[in-house]
Amino acid sequence: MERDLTRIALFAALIAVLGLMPRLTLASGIPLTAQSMGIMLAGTILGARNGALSVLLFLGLVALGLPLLAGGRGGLGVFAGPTLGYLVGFVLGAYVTGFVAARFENRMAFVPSLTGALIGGIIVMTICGIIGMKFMMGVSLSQATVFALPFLPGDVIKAVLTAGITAALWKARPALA
Amino acid sequence: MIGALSARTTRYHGWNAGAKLIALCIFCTLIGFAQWVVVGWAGLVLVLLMARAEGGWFLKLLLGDLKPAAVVAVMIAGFQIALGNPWKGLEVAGGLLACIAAAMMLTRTTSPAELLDVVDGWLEALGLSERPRRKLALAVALTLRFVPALSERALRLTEAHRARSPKRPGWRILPPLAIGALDEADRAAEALRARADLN
Repeated sequence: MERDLTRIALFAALIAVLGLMPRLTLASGIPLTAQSMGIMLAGTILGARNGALSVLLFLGLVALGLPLLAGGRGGLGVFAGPTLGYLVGFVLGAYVTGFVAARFENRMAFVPSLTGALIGGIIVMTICGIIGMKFMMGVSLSQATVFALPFLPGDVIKAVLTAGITAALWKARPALA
Repeated sequence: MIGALSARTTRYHGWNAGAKLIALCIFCTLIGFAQWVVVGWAGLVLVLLMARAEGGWFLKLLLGDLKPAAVVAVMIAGFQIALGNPWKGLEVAGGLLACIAAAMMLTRTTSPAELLDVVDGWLEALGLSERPRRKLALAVALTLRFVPALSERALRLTEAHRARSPKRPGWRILPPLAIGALDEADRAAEALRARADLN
């Protein structure tokens, strides 16, 4: 019980710290931060339920006004913006990442983690983001999809890194799985 | 506590946090349902006038908060104008800016602790027992403790990597960061088990 609680709190903090790390900017000018990698890591390391709870805790703190989102953003205002879909997708993405990885024999090995991160951290999160943009920006689904496309190459890199880091953690601390 | 609370006090700081949160929900819902260009922009003007009533410094603070959203709003409006829907673009941009301005005004005038108390009160009213509410409060406190601790650990790992390699540390510090952090979380769990009964 205590261990679950501290790990959920730890990953909420890790997601925040990854948003503070230096960001890369794609040639298209789209900024990439490691925050969504924190969501994928929460799913692969903590599992579906605890991973989603850590993301909910993180978003709760953002809603309370703490500037923990990438770029130092926070407050209820971020939930009224076009990224609302991605924020909902953070929770679902972490859950699906953990759920998919757990379908494999060793959920923290490279392939299960990569599969989970690709499905939960990219497909689910991007679908939520597209739906959110459609409603918040008043555009069509196809137009929202075009807006989401530039983020995908960076997301694939983050999914591969997530799988590598999870597998390294599994080797260092086998009891985590 | 870290947060976006304005250091200078305004009259809105004294307003009840729960009432402000309910007012924000009603405000955003009305703007979302209205679907008239004028409603969103009128809402934005109202929020900015409320900020101006406190002085230029507070209006400037709020306008600074709105800058990133304004860029997005201009993009949305431009996109819709290019598609031949100028009114739709203006409606979405106005509504978006009004809701974000109102939410930022609440965040600037209400401390996270006050908001947490409101949430705790609402959860109690919904019939949630004290134990899960205590766990939530503890999880919030632990996260706030872990954020600076993890940032400091990341900084130390980055410096250690720089001292040993000409390459940029980048993602290489993440595995040791995560391992060290998990160990720290487990130590905190042991301490909690020894001092508090969460079961």
